[in-house]
Amino acid sequence: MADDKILTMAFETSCDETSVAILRSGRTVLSNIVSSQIDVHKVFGGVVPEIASRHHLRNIGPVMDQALLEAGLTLDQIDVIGVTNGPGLAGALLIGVATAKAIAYAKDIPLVGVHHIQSHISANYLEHPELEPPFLALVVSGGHTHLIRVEGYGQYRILGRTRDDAAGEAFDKVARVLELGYPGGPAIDRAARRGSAAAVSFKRVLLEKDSLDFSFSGLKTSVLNYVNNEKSRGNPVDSADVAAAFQEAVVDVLVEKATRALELTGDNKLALAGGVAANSRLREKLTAAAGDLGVRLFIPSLALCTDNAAMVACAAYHKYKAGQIDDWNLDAQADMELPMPVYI
Amino acid sequence: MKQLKLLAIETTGPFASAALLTGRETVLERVSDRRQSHLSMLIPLIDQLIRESGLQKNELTNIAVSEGPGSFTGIRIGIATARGLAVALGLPLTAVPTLRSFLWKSTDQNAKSTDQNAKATDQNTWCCPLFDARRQQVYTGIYEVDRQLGRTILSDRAIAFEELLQEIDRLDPERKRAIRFYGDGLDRFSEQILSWRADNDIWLAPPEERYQNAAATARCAARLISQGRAVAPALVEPVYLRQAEAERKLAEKKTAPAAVVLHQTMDEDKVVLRQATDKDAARMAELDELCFSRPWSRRSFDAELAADNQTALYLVLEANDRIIAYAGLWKIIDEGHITNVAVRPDRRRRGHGRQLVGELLRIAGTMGIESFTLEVRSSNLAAIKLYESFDFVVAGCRKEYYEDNGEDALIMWRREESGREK
Repeated sequence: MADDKILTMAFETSCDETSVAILRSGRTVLSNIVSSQIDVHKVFGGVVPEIASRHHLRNIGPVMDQALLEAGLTLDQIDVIGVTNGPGLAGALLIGVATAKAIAYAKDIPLVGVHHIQSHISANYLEHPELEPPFLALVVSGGHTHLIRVEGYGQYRILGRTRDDAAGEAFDKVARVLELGYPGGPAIDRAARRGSAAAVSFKRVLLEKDSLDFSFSGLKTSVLNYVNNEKSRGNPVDSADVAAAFQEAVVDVLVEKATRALELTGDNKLALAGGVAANSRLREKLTAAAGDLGVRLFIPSLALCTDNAAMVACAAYHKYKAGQIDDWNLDAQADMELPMPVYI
Repeated sequence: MKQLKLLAIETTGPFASAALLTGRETVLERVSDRRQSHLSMLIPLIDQLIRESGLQKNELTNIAVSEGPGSFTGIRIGIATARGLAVALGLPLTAVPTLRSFLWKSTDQNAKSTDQNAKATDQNTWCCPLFDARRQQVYTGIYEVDRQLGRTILSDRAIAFEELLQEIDRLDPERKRAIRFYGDGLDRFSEQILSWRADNDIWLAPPEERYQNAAATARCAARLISQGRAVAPALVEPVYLRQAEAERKLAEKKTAPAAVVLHQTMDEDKVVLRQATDKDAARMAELDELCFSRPWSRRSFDAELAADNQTALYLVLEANDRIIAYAGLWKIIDEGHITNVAVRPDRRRRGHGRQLVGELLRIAGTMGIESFTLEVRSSNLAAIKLYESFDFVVAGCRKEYYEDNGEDALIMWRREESGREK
């Protein structure tokens, strides 16, 4: 496939990155501009929705101009417009959706709304052109922790998901308590390299024996209680050790559940996706586990792990090819189900 | 000069609308009948309008958008859509001040001065739209009805509703002006306006004429365009008139003194509830000794109460210079983890714990904390009951958690739907 010359432009504003990208043939990235708001939200210790929305509105025009410039294209040449329309922060999502709708309408370009998780999974198609469904995907980000069987382009079966906090959320909160800074993922990853995971032991919450769901809220609370108790006894807390032990616990659970899922589905391909896919310990342990199982592991490069519009354009391209085009009443949905969810 | 074919967008109020102005006077308008569905409705409304007019999209000459103030989300939908259309169609964009656009609510220029309740001449009439900005405030401005762009009497601002009435009395002490009030602020403040001044010169827009609409935006835009105010789309910015909540709170926090007396109860011995400071560490440690089998050390309190500790929030109840109770929590982004609630044994059963927990939840709530958690000994029924009365529910149990007697800990949570900013 992919011998057409279709040009897809996509918008991504679901959280704190404003991004516009253009792809040719669904897999060749012509431009992928990402404007991050990390520095803006640092002072608040987390993403503030109203402030994120204000910055998206400010940034989206220049980011789009840059994407067209780098690709050497004008709007007249674009064949398909894709946009993340959920899930995410409602106020942030709508900046991308309103912009995409207006341009698509004005230029009579087909409009395709894309689910954010679908985009994260699609990042792997960009990184690894040889990857094709079916495969198992582990999507781990600030808002999601999902085990999904990708049965075809745009066809998903959710095998497991978090019942409370997303893994990335737990990273942010623990980093905050350990005063390691924001965003928490990279901060914990860095601190953990200096610490010893064996210094403290946190319980791995695996839930019911046959469940592929996740729960990270208890682990987060355990870390908080540990820090609390040590302080109350007047003991110094080694944040590097705690970070390493916490990270190890999260990674162990993710690897264990992914392994169980692979055994269940019999897949020989595993794709990692989402911002937490940038975590070095997760990459390391998942690589080892995949090796043991004889499973090929696909991981996107760092730039494609975090939120970006190239992955949105890729997902939009596949939806367009499948004839899934949206109407002009496309809305942003803060909570949004994956298309065709089937639970086992 | 080419005939004006202007598309105007209005999404700052409760109902989205779009209007098409061609030539001098003709305005076609479509208003959504669904509240707060601007994003899904706006392009379909525009599409309907274009189809009905018989125009082609590429025959348009100008785009205009209502810039705010109003609903933050609404403003952004309008501006993002208007910019997208203008960029894609290669057209200039005009930003219309939303409050001022009420001067163009009526099609007929004369209608502005011939309203039955208004005074005879334009110069005597003021137009005062007010939008409900929550927190007892309104977004408002006052303009003279003068057949021009409306001389500004009171510039656009967010102020307390009461303050607006005081401003009007200051600007028009003899109450000579006729004033026409518009906007969704009337949904809330009509009675208060009429109890302030109920003479014949006060006119409140009825619901059908009350809200901002794209036809007025279009007429105002036509006037602005005739004065050359049509610019590159990127130059049009939203007008919020107010900082984001989090920015405001951050600024307040930076200027707030370390200890604030929150309120005083009229107890026999004057109980003061205030935020704890590092100077309280020793006395709080003493209180802990009295209350718990495993008290926190003085050093822990020093760390918790350090001025640069942004995570901890502690409140104390003080009676006659003695700390009789304290409660505290850790702010973990949007979660509050309650660490301790302690009441001196001789001051229990007087509602002090309830008062502290209530204040703690309230104050943390204003800091953006949306859900709270804590753990409590399973035998401490009084505390469990207290937390349940604040909507905490038991979410789990840690077996044999407490080292002193091997007691279980109950984990309780109080979760709230996150409120969205207007």
